[in-house]
This record gives sequence, structure tokens and C-alpha cells, in this order.
Amino acid sequence: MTAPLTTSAFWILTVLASGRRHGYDILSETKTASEGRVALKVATLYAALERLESEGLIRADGDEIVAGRARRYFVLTDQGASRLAAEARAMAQAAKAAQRHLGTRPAFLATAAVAR
Amino acid sequence: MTTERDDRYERLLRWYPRAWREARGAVFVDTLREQSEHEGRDRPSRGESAAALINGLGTRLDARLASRSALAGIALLVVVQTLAGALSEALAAGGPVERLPDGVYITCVAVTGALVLVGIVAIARTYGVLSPARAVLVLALAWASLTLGDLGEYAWGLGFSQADDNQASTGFAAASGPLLGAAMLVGMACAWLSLAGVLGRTRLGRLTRLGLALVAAAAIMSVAVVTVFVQATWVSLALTVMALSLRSLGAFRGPAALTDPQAAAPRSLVRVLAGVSFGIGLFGVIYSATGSTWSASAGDGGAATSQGGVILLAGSLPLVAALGVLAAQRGQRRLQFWGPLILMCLVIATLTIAFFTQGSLMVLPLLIGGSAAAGLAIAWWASSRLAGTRGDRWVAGASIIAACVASYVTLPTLGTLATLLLAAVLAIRGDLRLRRTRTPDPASAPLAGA
Repeated sequence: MTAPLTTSAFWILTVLASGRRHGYDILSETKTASEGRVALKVATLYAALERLESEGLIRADGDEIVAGRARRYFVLTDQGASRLAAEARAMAQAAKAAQRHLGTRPAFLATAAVAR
Repeated sequence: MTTERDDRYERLLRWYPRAWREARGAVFVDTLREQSEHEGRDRPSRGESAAALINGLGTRLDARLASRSALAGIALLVVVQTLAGALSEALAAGGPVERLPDGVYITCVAVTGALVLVGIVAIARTYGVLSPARAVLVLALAWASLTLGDLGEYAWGLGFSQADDNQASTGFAAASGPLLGAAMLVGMACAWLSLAGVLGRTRLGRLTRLGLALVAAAAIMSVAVVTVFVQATWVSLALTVMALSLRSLGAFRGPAALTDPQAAAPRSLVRVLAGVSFGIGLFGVIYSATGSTWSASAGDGGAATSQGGVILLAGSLPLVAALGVLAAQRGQRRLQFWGPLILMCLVIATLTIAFFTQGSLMVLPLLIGGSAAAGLAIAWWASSRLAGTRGDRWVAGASIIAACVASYVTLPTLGTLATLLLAAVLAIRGDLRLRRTRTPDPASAPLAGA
């Protein structure tokens, strides 16, 4: 069993799953995809990218100069993709279990909550 | 205006180490600029600046810094210990005071501890146990706890002296309890923060993680509270940091390639010599523990320990001989092998004399000399196996010698024996590997008569 991904690592891998992206692109896309729950600082982003790279989950995919600005692109590795898939499966199972239990919630509890 | 604005971004890079700046600096700064532009700012936000500060400092905590800070810690102890020893002898002979003030010793151990803590945290970050930001927080808390603890210990010493003079503890002396309590609390927070980072990467539940981290933090602090003021603790930790950092820097190349596969040593002779060594060594240990009850020549426990130590050292000689046999059979002619081995024989002889002359003025110089020679032997042996720059190898060699000298009081015998044992294991492991490679592979063997 692998260790769970941190929230920031999860969202970085998620946005890289759809293709190669550079630093600012990852920042803005993680914020959008997580509906604002993850707002990384640039320094935190690069620390996380370094860590994911050292774990072999992502890799740098070339540098480019666009409009006079240096950009480094990153892509998801096969290992990263399977790790993200495993994490998504575990989260889906957890969500399913929660839904199942909510479905069996006694009616009187729901009524009491509404009355309050 | 643009230049001034650009400088604000560039300035954030100063927190990062040079290698990081060279590899990622331009991309990092341009990402900051792009983000500012999209958010309508012309300078980095406070949050961005703080994140750069803490992550940059955390990134500086790497294996190289770990080895250097551990070395500096050991070197400090060696210098202060040597000065204190020399001063004590001079002062005891009629000087104005009998010994160095307690504050000097406490400060020395505290500074050593602070340096070794840098090494521990840097190693934890290098191995991915702590993120850069968490590493900085952990180090700050560890330093705070150590400082409070050392102040508490100093205050406790003052209070003890006042109590000896039948005076109640007042002022700073009365603050020892709160200081030590605060040190314990901050230390627990530090241990909890470190462990929470590790446990956060497991699939344990949040409450289980919290409980485990608290229990482990309490256990760590209960051990730390009695060991943190002892210099041997820091020497041991510094040595561990040193070994881990050298490993992380890729300094160990592994056993040198054997050039002559036909020159395998007869295993039976090596086994006999190793067996004799083990037997004599075991007898030395038993003699140390029980000799005073049955041996006529061991008057008391102290004499039995000394004589057992001599037997233990004598028992290592067959092991040295076994190493010599292995090397001779393989046609080993390099000075880098025979030099350290001869030096180890000298160490054994020196330590044996030190045990025989216990109680005389000769013991201290003999122990220090023997430990330095042991360190030199290990460093000499390791020098051919270390990768990295010449500077790295010098640092490693100097740290090995310094560590051996620093631990001369407690570790010379154990260190000598452990080194020989390690050398024997490496040599025999090389021998076994050699035997495996010599086994012919039937699949690749040429067809008979072809």
C-alpha cells in the first residue's frame, strides 16, 4: 500500500494528467480545478515539484522562452499516472462508502436536524 | 522602475543556495512575475516573500551542510575538550581557580548540539522526511528547546550551589523549573511537528496519527531530557549524520574491484583465524564482567575490566592476520590497504599499553594517540573508496579522525574492534562474491569439442 498524496501533490498531478504544463499554468490550473481550495505560493509549488520529480512521479520536459520569460514544462510520468489513478480509486471508494452510509441514515435524525 | 521591480523578485532568490538558483532561479523568478502580472501587482506579495524565505532556507538544509555542521560540532568539542584538559592540569597546579566554569562546558555542549541539530534536520530534509518549510520550523523549535534546556540546566546548577550554602534559590537560579518545563514543551512540539510530517504520509486515521505522534514525542523527550547534556550523545548523533550525509552525497563506491579472480584466499584458514579471534574476544568480555569473582590477578571490578579489555584487544590480532591472509592471497600490494592495516596493529598495541598503565599520566596521551591513529587508519582506508571532490574527501577524512579523537574516552576499544570487524566482513563478502562470479555458467559455456 502506497502512502497517500498530499493535497497539493494530488492537484499538481491531476492538472498534469491532461498534458505538459509550465509553472504558472500549474498554479492557476490547480486553483481552478480545486475550486479555490488549493492556492499554492510559487515557492511552495517549486518545492512540491522538486519532491514529485525526485519521487519519479513527474519529470521536466524542456525549457522555453515565451515573450521573454523562461518557462520550464513538466509532464506526468507513467509512475505518476498510476499513483494518481490509485489515489483517485481510493478517494472514490471512500466517497462511495460515505454515500452508502448516508443513504441508510435514520429518518428521525434528518428530521431533528431540520427542526433545529 | 522596471529594474527596481525586477530587483524585488530577484532578491527573493538570495534565500536559496547557489546550485538551486543556477538550476531553477530564472524559471522561478519569471513564474513570480507572471503571477504578479495576472494579479495586477508590481511586486511579490508578503505571502510569496515569506514562502520564498522559508522554502529557500529549507532548501539550504542539504547533505553537504549536514556533514559540515556535524564536523564543526565534533571539532568544537575536540578543541574545547583539549583546552579544558590542558587548562585543568595547569589550574590544578596552583592557579586562581580549580576548573573551568560550568557555563563554558554547558555553552560548548549547547553550541555543539545546535550544530548537530542542523545536521539532523538537514539529513531528514535530504531524505525527504521533512519538506523544506517544515524543516525550518522544526529546526527553529529544536534550537529553542535546546537553548531553554541549557539555560534551565545552568540555572539548576546555580540553585544547587546556593542550596549547598544553605541559601534559598533566588533570581535566575529559581527559574530552572519553568525553563526546563518550557524546554520540554517546545521539544515535544518540535518532535510532534517532525513526526506529524512522517505519519502524514501514511494511511493512518487523523486521530491515530495525532495519538501516535504525541506518544512518540513524549517518549523522545523523556530520553532527550537525560541525554541532551552529555557530549557523547552529540558525538554519536554527529557520526550518524556524517555517515548518512556521505551516503546521500554518493560518497561510497563499494568494495574495490578485484583484479585477480584466481587469487581467492583459502576460506578455511580465514575461518579458523576469525573463530580464534571470536573465542578470545568472548573470553575477554566474560573476564571483564566476572573476572573479579574468580581471577586471582583481578583484585576488583576495575582491574578485571582493564584486563578483559587487554584480552579483547589481543583477540583482534588473529582478525588482522585473517585480513592479511586474504589480501596476500589476492596479490594485494597497494599501500592504501597495508598502510591502514599496519596502523591498526599500532592502535591495538597503543591501547593495550594504555590498559596496562592505567592510573599513570601516560594513559591520556596513549588513548588520544591511539584514537587518532585509529581515525587515520579508517580515513586512509576510506580515501580510496570515496567519490566526490578532493575537498569532500578531505572533509570526510578529517571528520573521521576528529570523531575518533572526540570519542577517545569511551570508544577506542569498541571503535577499533568494530573497524576490524567491518573490514573483515567487507573482505569476506568480496571473497564470497568472487566465488560466485567464478562459478561457470552452463548456458554460456563453450560446447565441448566444438
